[in-house]
Amino acid sequence: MSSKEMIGASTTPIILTILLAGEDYGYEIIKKVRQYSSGNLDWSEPMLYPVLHRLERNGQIKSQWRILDNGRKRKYYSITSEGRTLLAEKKEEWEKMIEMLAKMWNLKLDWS
Amino acid sequence: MKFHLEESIKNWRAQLRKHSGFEDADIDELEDHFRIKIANKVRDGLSPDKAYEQVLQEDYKDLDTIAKNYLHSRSNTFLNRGLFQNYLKVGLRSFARTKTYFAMNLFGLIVGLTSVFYIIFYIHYELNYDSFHENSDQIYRVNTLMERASGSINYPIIPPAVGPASKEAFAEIEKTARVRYAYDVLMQHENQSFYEEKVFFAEPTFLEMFSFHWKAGRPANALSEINTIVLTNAMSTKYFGNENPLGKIITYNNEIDLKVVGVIEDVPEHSHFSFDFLISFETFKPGPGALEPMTSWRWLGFLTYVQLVPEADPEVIEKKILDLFEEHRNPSNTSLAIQLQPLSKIYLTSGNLSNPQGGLFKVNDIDNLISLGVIAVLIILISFFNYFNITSALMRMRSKEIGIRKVFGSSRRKVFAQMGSETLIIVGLAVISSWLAIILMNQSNMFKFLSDGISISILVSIGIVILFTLLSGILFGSAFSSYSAMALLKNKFISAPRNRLSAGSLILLLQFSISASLIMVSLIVISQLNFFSKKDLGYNENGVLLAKFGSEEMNTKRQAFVDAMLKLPEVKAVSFGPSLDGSTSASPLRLKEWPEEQVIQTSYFGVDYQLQDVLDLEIKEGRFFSLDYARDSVESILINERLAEMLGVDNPIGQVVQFERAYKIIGVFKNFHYKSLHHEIGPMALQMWLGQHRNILIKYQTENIGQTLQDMDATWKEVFGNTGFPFDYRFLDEQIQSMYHKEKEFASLLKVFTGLAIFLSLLGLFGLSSINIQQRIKQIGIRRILGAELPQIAKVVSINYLLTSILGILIAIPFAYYFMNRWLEGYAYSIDLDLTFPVFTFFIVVLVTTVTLAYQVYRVMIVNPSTILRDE
Repeated sequence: MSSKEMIGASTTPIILTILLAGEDYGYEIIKKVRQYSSGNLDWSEPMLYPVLHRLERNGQIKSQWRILDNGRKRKYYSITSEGRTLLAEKKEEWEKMIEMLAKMWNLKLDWS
Repeated sequence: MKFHLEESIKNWRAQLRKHSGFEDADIDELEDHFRIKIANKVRDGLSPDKAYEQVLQEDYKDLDTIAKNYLHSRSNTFLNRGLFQNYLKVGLRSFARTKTYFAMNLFGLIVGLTSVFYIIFYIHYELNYDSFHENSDQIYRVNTLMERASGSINYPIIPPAVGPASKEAFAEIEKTARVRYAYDVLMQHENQSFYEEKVFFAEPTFLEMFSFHWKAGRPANALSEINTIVLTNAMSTKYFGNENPLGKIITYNNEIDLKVVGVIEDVPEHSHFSFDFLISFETFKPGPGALEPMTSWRWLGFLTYVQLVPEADPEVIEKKILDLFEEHRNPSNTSLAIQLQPLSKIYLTSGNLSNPQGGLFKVNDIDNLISLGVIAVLIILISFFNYFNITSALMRMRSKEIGIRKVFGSSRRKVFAQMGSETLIIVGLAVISSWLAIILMNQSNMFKFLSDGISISILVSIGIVILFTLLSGILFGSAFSSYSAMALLKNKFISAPRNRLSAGSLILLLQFSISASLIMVSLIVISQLNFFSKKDLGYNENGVLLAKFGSEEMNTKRQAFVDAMLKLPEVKAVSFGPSLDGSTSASPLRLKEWPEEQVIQTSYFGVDYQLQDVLDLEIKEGRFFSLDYARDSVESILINERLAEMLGVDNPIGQVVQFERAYKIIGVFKNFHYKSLHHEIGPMALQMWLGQHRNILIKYQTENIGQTLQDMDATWKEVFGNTGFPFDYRFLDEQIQSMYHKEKEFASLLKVFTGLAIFLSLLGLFGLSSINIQQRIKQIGIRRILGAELPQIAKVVSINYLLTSILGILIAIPFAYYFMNRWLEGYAYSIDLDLTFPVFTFFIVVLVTTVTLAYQVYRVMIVNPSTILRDE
């Protein structure tokens, strides 16, 4: 649905927000995005993982391999304090942007 | 066929691995994701194979794009950590794929770098002779330069009066130290006695000027008293074992008791001047037969070192000393000059010095070092050429990888970085290994180096690593960015450069030229050395033994000894005469009727009646000294052909010459080499000397030499047993060969490094030709199926390489010829540069090239062509 620019700008805050709730892995993140967007956003692996890796390199999230019951391993990501700071900044930007657009378009916002 | 999920996932992983965008952890993570998706579909009722197919089709169809995404996310910074890790990984994978060539590259680099480091250490060592003296910048040796008809001769010695008088007269001279060589010394302590060769009389200032390290004793007054001696640590152990040597007595030539006043550490190897004993200068007394007193301005017999004040100009002092010298010495006909030779340059610039103490002062020729330096550069070049040739041939095989990188927008910069990091790994490994090799060699005493040479080598190592990395990055990077991505993917690169003169074959040509030049150079150097050892010296040096003959006491038993010796059946003749170690004395000589200032500086030996029999000297005219002529011992002289020529008289026999006193010429002998072959034969005379001799020459039968030596030793003990002088002998032919010690060292270095350079070139040829054949293996297979026989295949495989090698030789020959011609000019007697050298070089290179290529042809021929062609 969304344009490339939109996806590019929203990916980081979306991932960080999901991780704010607790550590998670790639498949679940994509699933959650699909649920929150009611199916409008369908991320693919080659889109998600490079972003996760970049955030990790930048120190905003960290990862850990966990061994599952079946003996396989899975990589879990969690947010760092740097990530929280970044998310706070992003959140402020988005709020201002949404508020402005809402005003311009006479939308009603319900900040729950 | 039954579907295996695990097997399929493994294959899928292998597919991913082919892409350079993924790291192992990425693939693990994706696999987890992949499995969850398959598991979900299986749960929804699909069979595993269907589920697998669906997920693959829906989400993992276009691996290129996925890989590109991964790559792209890493590429925001040039050479960031992740990226470098990726380069490293790709590099290691490519090494693993091409193990043989990787090993070849690495081994070639290690051999090349080890040689280069060795040469650096060697040159550094040679350049730093005498640098360990604190005042080395201010110390000079005073030499006498003498102009002669035959050219100028330099003596590192001056008369005894010059040093002290100069110090007195010129404030710029801070210190002077006179040193006198003590000939044929017998040292004795309690009941052990040894002949010692490195004994000098030295003024106390000698030990102040030079920084030899004290082990025991008082440097301030050591050697200031008469009859005192300083010895090296090795000598202290030799004579006194573990006892404290200070205050102990060593007897000199059975005559003088010397008190040990100090022990110094052994003289370092890199000192031009080497000694074991220093006796106080006061102790030296000119012998009873000496012509001059210690205040002489004529007696060229003393090494003299001066230490100048820091700001003094040596050229000015040279002039001042010369003026002072000219004032005092008798007006004379030989023109003289004084040279202050800087201490640090003595070792490498004394080639033209007459070295009066034979091999006692070490010398080397700076040209040898330059040659080795050139060889080092050539070896590095060959190593790099090999690396470049093999790697670029391999790169053609990797063109797909690079093509994909290009498709993904990888820039030239990144290819540069990839190739640079691969080179960095391999050169880094090679540098580390070479260092280990050098350290091992150093520890096993195969060679020694100065610790301050390490910093230079480290700098060179870093330089080589950076240079190789940058060069290969640039070369390969630009080569590949010049091809379009599509061409690379279609492997166009492989076929593109084949029919024109490629960089690879140019480089190969250069390598062949270098190797061929080095082979020719080595052949010439080795022949010149063989020439030295085989050259007819004008006398027979074989079957002659030289023994030291020391004291006056022994001289009284001289005839008894000769008689006893001649009773031995193996002994043919005994003579008391010259040591033939290259040292001579010289004096001015003229025909009696010539004016006084017209003289010929003439070398001479004092000999006895038997020398002719011992050395088989050939008399051209007249006769040798004979007991039948009573006056031979006082007024007869023999001259060599050269001197006869210079005198310019029709019949020299019977002519009277003035040579210290008047002599009548009784014979002319054939020129013989009384010095090393570096020197031309000059005017020379033999006169009788029945006084004290230092050497006995014994002509013996060469069969059963062991028994002969035993018999001689027994005879010696019988006659001289109570004198304490041991039977200390050398073989004349061996002593003569030892005059060419430096040449031999240089030649053996040259042989080793030439061998290595050839080896490296062949390694390059081998690598290049096998890659080339591998790439053309199908073509060759088709030819064989179409009926081509061995000769055609051999031609296809090797003709280009063979032609390149021949062309390389043709280029090399004139260069080698030119330089070696110049090198040989430095020798008074040398071989002729004839056609044998280029012809031999040609055969050697063509032979080894053919053998290398034959092996490649063999490898191709043993494979069944159908297997090659089926392999698609």
